[in-house]
Amino acid sequence: MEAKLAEIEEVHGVPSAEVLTVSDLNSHINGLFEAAPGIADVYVLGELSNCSTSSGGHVFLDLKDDESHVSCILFRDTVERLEYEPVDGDEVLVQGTAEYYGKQGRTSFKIQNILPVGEGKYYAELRKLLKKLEQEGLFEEEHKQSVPELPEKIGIVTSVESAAVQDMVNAIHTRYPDVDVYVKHAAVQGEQALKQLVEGIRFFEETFVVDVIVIGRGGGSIEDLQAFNQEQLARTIHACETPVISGVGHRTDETVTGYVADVGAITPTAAGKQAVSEKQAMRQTIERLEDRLQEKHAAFQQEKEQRKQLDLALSRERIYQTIIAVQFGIIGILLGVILL
Amino acid sequence: MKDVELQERLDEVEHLMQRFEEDGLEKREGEQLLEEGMARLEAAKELLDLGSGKLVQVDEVDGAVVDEPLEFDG
Repeated sequence: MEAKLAEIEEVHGVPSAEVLTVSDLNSHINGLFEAAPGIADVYVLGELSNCSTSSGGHVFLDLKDDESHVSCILFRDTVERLEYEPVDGDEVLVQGTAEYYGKQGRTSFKIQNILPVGEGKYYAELRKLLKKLEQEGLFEEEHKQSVPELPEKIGIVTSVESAAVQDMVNAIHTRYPDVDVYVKHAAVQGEQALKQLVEGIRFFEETFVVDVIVIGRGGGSIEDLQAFNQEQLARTIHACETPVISGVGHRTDETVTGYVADVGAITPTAAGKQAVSEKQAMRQTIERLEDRLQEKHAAFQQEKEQRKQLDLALSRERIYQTIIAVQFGIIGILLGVILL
Repeated sequence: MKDVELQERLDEVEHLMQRFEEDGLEKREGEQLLEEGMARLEAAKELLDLGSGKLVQVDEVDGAVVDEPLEFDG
């Protein structure tokens, strides 16, 4: 190390005493954190997002406001002590200390206590939109279109780079290997997401018509799923004459898209399964009918053969009776001749 | 839609079998009814062939629809 620093000093003119290692830098930052007033045992007001629990029982979450967010952790002993369970979207007052973790080079807010304050701004807006669309009847069963059992073309609107598209396609082709699948790429989060998702639905409705449309993405935070909770997308899906299946997020994620779609599946894989019937099962239905028909055909042929045999036997009987009658007639004639 | 056609074929087969059960055995047309049923089942089987199982990415470029095969890594 010393040789390297000496070389740097010689080549680049930077004194070796002024060069820090990464560990040195992080150690300095940590020292600043420990000495800084105003970030230890403070109260912070914000909205919860990305809440998740590790296998060890620790809870990780983001605390955010309109402009920024901070990563937070609640260690298991704190989680067990709290009466409140953190939920995405809740507005909370947290008490804790900002810390710096040198090894990962990142800051985190260690929470000691959480006090729920109310519903977050985002959730409040989402609830308002849901209520508005529900009152307009967009979620009514009478608007739901049935998905055809044998769609010849399935259109998928999602990111082609996502794992979700693979899940959807695999689910479709496992159930029905020869159905054709068309994917229209759309960003599923970020600034372009809403526009591209709406364009994707319209593309399959107007430009390249398919029999059923699947729209979806994998799980994420409330912010990540934001495009799927927008009024414009909801109204586009509602107006779509082609049946739409939504598969957004995980089992627990509820979105406006899921409510307004003709089928709201719980995951992208489930959406793929809803898009088409199982070919094998349909084939079996036909084969069972074919078996019944063949049984009837065999029974019919057997009956026909029996009738034929019976008719033959009756014909023979009539011939015998005729021969006997003729023989008796001849005998009678002969007897008559002899007696005369 | 193919599923409507498929259901129609299957309903026709059921109807033909019903006719056969009612009076087909007693009439010469019994065999004909069963053969018609078999023909409709064959047509139903063909309806199950939907496509080639292709997977493509589609887009609209300058007003024209373009497509290219979509493959997944792994």
